[in-house]
Amino acid sequence: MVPSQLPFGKQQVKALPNILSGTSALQASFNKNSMSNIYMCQQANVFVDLKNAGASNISGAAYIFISEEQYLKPLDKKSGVFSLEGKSLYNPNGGIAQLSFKLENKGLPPQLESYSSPLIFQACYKYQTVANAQICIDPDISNLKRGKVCSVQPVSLSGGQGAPVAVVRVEPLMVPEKDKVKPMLAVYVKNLGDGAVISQENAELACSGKKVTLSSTVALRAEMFGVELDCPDSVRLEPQGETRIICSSTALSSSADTFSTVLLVQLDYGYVTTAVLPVSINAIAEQKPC
Amino acid sequence: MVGAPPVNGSVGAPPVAPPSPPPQAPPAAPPQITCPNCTGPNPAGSAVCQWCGSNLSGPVAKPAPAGESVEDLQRKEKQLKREVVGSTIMAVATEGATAGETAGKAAQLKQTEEALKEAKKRESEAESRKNSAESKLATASTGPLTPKKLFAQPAMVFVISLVLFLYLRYIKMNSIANWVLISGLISIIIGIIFKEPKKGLLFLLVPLLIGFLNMMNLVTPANSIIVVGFVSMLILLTFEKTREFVNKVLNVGVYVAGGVLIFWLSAWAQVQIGVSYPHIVTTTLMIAYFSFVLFKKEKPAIKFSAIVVNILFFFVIFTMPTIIAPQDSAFYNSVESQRAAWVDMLSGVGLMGKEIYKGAQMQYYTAIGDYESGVEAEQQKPLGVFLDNIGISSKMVQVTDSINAFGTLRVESFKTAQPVDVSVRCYVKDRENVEGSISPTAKFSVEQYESQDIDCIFPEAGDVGVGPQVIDFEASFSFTTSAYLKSYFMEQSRIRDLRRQEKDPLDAFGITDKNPVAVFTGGPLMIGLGAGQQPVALLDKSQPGFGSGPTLGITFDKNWLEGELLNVTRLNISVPSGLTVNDVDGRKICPDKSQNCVLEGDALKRLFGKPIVLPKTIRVHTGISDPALVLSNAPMAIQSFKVGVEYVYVIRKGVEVIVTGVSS
Repeated sequence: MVPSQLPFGKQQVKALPNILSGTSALQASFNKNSMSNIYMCQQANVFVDLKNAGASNISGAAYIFISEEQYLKPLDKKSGVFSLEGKSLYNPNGGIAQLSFKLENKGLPPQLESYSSPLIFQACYKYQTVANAQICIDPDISNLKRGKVCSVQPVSLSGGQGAPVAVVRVEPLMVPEKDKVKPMLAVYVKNLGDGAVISQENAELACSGKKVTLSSTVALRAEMFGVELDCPDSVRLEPQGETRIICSSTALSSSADTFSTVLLVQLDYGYVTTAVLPVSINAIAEQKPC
Repeated sequence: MVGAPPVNGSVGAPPVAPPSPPPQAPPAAPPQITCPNCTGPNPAGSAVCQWCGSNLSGPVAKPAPAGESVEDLQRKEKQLKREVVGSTIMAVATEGATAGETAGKAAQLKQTEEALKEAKKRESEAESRKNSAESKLATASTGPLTPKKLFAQPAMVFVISLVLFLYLRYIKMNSIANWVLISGLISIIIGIIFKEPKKGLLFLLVPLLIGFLNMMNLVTPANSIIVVGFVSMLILLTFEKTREFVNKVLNVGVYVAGGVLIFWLSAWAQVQIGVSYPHIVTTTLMIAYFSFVLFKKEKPAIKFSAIVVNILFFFVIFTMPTIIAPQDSAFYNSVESQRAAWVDMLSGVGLMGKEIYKGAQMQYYTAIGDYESGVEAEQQKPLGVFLDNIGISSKMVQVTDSINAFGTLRVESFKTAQPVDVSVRCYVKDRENVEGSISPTAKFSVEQYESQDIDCIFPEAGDVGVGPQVIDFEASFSFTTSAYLKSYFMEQSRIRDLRRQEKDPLDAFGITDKNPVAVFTGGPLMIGLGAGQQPVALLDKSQPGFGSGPTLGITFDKNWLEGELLNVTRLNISVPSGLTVNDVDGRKICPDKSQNCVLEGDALKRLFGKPIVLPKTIRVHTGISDPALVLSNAPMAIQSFKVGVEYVYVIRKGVEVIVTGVSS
């Protein structure tokens, strides 16, 4: 623990919060004041707490409440749109919001004293991951030079980058190409969040009844010393484990010096967050149909 | 014993020394002869028998042959046998050199064997003479009158019995008085037959024991026979002649009737301790006894008898319990409770068997895909119609008496449901035409939680028939059972996309109940539903097979072990919005493109057949008229299939009655 107050009355400068860390995006949960036990014919008010715990802003996110409408009929519009600011230096906790939703039970089947059915909240939104890693580029693959400033080795990125889809590892590879050396970078990407990855284009449609193709496609952009790398436009994430993406840079002369640089990776995708509230409906003794 | 024993002296007779002459040698002591008339001993040479006074002018009896004792001869025979064997071996070894010696010893052995046979004969004759003389002397004793001798006189026994009889009659104990007289007469007869009236007096134990039984309220024909049998055994045991026989009879008796005795003693012990202990004690003893009978080495005939006697006994107590003890006596009640415990145990085993059979049957049907399961909805009380506290006012009735059986009809229906119509009747088991009248009324309309006392009356028990009979109460009632099956619906392309990503489509929506089981409301009938794999895929118009929906399997089975489904009066099948019922078991019996299908009358009769055999599974083929309506603008929809069935169910409960007397 770093003491906040040093001797002689001098204050230590607070470290800036690390915004680009964590593996969450939107956190959605039913508020504890939501009515999960209702009586037959009764109205239920539920509240969903939303928090953007990631570093990217959510804008125009679609949401929907799914219920067994034969027993829990929505009184409010069951779908909608919301936006939520991400974590920033000015708002290190991220934006928060609350959605309310009203339902009503329209009666239970005869001779049934209780019934249980889930109420599902689902939000579909676009999200972005920005990762940077210090890597070493060494065109001297024969290792003839001495006193190099760095050595080529894989770089691990743990803890996420403030988004559910994270770059977990980068492996620089020096590939000879004729008289030159072409730096190539293997970027390993993985969904570390609780939700599902969908393509950016279909992000909002995933939360609707419209026909949509769901694929866990991620759009990718990588940049090194201000130059965009040659990467595939999009990749489909492996269902399990890490997905390897190869980006290549322009070829360098084999006599060029060894240097260290920052690799910048930007991933764009759609993300789906779900929360479930089991609702129990009970009939009161001598209760008449609704 | 040395030599052939002469007849020993008895009451008042001087002891006579037994002679012990060597074989073929004259007796050393003066010889004795036996009176031919009274078989008493008499010194040789006397013209008149000293004991019975009879004339011995006839041919004088030969003195009893004397010789070596049986034991000596047996010892000698054994020794000679050994020697003959040894000598034979020697003859073989010496190639006939000692053959002569062997032949001599063999001849000696033969002589000894003959002598032994004769000695045994002599001994047995002497024994019988002795017994005969003893009894004769007892009756013919003319010594001074002692109390012992007095009570040994048949006349005295008769006088005592008569006085007791008259006294007991006077104090109105007629039954005991009769037993006293009977016992007295029997003791006199025994005294005359066995020449020992004092032993006959033992028979007077009979009235004493009968009196005790009377005090315990246990006088029954069976118990009286047991008492007489017991005392007879006791008397027979006092005679040397019969002792061995009685011992054998007792041994075999205990082996053969051990089960009966254990059961009897068990019930008896319960009466004594005043509480009914767990029947498992008796059951364990009975099992131990039957194991003993099965595994003990005994003659097959005895073993067979043991089994037959016990089976007959249990058959009797199970069918005619009153034969054991009078009704309402403590002994009867304890036997009855024992019997009831066994009946319960057996019916428990029967129910368990039924459960196992039902489980196996369900597994079989499930394996062949012809059975849909369901779970009963949790209810505060079990729903249905129940017959409780079935009983009978008098378990044993005369043919001219009336039979009054009673019970409580209890209805547990749901609060908001319609009243339940119940019809009650009662009849003799397996003879439904012999019906009793139900009081106060045979038809009820019962609402919610209600109960009604009912009585079944047969004005004349003779109509029911003589012997043990079972009166069955039968309640038939209309009831409704509903079932619900939650299902999930998604577009097929969406399902495929998620599966391609190796994701469970339902996991994507946080659903944990991935294979919902149908929930049916309580009652006698179980309804199971199944709609295939979840989530149900909705096809696009462009896809082949568009319009066909999931097939709903509906299984009807008994939820109660008792009773039977008599008739199905109405069946309502309801599918989610956007779906339609196409056909039921391939029959187009529902209105075209309808979401609800209500079946009644002939359509149901054809569907279920008569009589209805359960479990019965029907398959409802559905169509999807509007996938958007099913989804209702959501990526996934939760909808329920509903089935409601109205039916008539019948339950029966019986009560036993024993009708006695001669039927007209």
